[in-house]
Amino acid sequence: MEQSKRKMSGAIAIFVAFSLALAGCSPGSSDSGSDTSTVVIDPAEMGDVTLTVLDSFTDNASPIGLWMLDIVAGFEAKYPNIKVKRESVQDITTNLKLKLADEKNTPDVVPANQGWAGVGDLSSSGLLLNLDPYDKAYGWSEKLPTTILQQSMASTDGKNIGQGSLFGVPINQGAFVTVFYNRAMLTKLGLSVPKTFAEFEAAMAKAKSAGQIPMQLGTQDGWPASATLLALQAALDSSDDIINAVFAKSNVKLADTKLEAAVTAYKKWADSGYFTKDFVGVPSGTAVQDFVDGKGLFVIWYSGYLPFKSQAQGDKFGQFLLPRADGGALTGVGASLQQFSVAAKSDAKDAAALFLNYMASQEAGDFAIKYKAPPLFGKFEASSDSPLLNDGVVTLNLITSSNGYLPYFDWATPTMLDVMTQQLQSLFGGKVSPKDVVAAMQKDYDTFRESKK
Amino acid sequence: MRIMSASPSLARKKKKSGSKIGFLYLLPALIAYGYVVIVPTFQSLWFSFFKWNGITEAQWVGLNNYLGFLSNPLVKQAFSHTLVLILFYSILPISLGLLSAALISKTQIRFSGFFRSVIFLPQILTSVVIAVIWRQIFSTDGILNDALRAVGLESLTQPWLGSFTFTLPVLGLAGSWTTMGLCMLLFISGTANISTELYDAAKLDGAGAIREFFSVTLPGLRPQLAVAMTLTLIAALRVFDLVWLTTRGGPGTSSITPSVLLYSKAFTQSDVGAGAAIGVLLAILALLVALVIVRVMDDKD
Repeated sequence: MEQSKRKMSGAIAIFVAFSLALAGCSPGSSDSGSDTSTVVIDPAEMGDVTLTVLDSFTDNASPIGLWMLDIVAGFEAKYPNIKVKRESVQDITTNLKLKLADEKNTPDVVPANQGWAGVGDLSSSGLLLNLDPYDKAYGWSEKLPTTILQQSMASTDGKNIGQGSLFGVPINQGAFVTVFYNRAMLTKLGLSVPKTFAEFEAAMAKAKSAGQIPMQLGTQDGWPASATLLALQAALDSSDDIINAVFAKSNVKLADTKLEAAVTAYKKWADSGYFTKDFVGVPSGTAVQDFVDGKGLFVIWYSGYLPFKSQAQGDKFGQFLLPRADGGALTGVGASLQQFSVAAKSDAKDAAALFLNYMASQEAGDFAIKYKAPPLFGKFEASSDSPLLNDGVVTLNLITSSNGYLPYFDWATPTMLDVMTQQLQSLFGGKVSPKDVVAAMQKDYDTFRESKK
Repeated sequence: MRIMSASPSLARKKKKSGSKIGFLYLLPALIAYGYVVIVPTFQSLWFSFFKWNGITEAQWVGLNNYLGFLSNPLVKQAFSHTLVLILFYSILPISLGLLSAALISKTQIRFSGFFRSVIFLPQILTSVVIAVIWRQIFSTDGILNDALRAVGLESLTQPWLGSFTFTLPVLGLAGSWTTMGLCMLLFISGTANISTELYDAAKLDGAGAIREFFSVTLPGLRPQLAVAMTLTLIAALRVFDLVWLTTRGGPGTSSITPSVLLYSKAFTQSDVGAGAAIGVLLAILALLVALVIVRVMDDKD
């Protein structure tokens, strides 16, 4: 017995030693930075190159998958000396770091997300290339809306996102928080697309009295509760306050912003019965499916993420941005569908940057239109055969012209989305007041900023 | 004589080399087990001493991740929910399982094989299927609310999985449903092994049904009880999929469990160290549960 115990502890000791050796001294040892002494933007000078592009667009029949096929074909046709080798991996965020650290098969172009889990933490790891020299060469800062481009920025010391150096370039396809409406129902109720915030609330009241569900909502699965709050913030709060808070550009106290007003409005809508009955016990998937099936006048959701079976079904719906309560120029919570970065270990950095530039070009936007997806930069005519896409193009043109893109508020800290979700559910459950919600978000914000000092 | 004295040592030698060869046979499985279970376990332990976002260089924080839990109300809440879940995953199914075992051992029920399979069925369903079934039953237009409306109890209808009061008990009931079959089957097969002479003796001594249960059936089921308790307690400790696929810990944090917290910390909040620390705590608790049960059951023997 004694002996077997000793043997056992010996075995455990060996395993500990083994696993520690495997784990390395400390997890995530950082790598040396990168040097971008010379920047080449003339394709002819790049020679014959094969570019490895990592993406998450695994479904080649989806609009984004088709778009990517066109991008690669278009790029190779335009620059015959550069070949593109794609590698599509689902759920890329979880193993992007491994791919970037891989010595032998480092990809050149990688999809790093906006926010802390993406560029935020990767910027200081030395795994992504600082794109500032290419920004100067290609002039992205002048060409693209600054409110979009800043979402791809981070400070090299890992303390901030939304400012500092450029670590990614957004593709020319947009995703934003928007209001979808049922065209037939809106007409039947004798309403038109609301032009002001008051008109929007009046439309919901009218739908309610006509026995319709004014707005579909389901918060049982948590995070989808935040979409409506984001839209309300964009409509009620000052864009500067939101941007400065999320990107910690100045010391914004949430209590001084209109966040509490947005939370209060959300609660008021809930108390007025504007949402799906018993929405706290409805999964978001059910709510949006019911909306697509014709139940409910509005839904606030992410553009391009409603489960339409066909284009014809989608065209029964329209979309618009929640009008600002102060009547100012439209602001929308939105970002590029994906931003791409260049791996620091890439041996084809120039070609990689050229590829990023191509994905942000007017041509890339045309491809998006072709697959009924709203582009993000440039001017596009709302003249396609899809009314829903045309609404999207109109919206994006408006935000682009006012440079009014707002970051997702939950980018502020890695824990913010969970805090917002839990607080909103508690608000609906009558456990906390709008003031408490703001205080909890501020506490989360302060704790995180403190850790970045 | 010589042969006689040589043979035991030969036998011993043979036995020894045999066990070495046996170890060799085990080696591939051991390596695989070590690589996918043991190494990651100690890696988690190692990670739990760091503040690490999974990407940049980690910072050694010693026991701070663990000490942080002491002041974190969310962690306390998650573990307090585990206590509630133990009631539903372990105590309730074991009691019901014992009851059914006591009843079935006395009487011959027709189609008992069929009923046993039906009650055991949830045990072999994957957790996703279970989550979908219970989500349907307790959805706002689900079977339960429909049934309540049908019998005129409209006022009792609830958004069950969106309620601060009911969500955890409802998810707990789903757990009872899954572990119940296992407990029942274990106990029924256990009672079949108890010698009928003991029951006869009890009868002769004038024991009633209740006395018989506590004096004969229950002591006879001790090994099965140990297995059932170990499995169900550990199931209660690691509840994740059911919660994640329905409420993700909500509404608010009213149904959050340690495993859900672990997942959010490690994978959505980029706090790998804290996630690993929760995992280590869970592993220690599970080990303690198993040790205590084995010790208690052994002592009584």
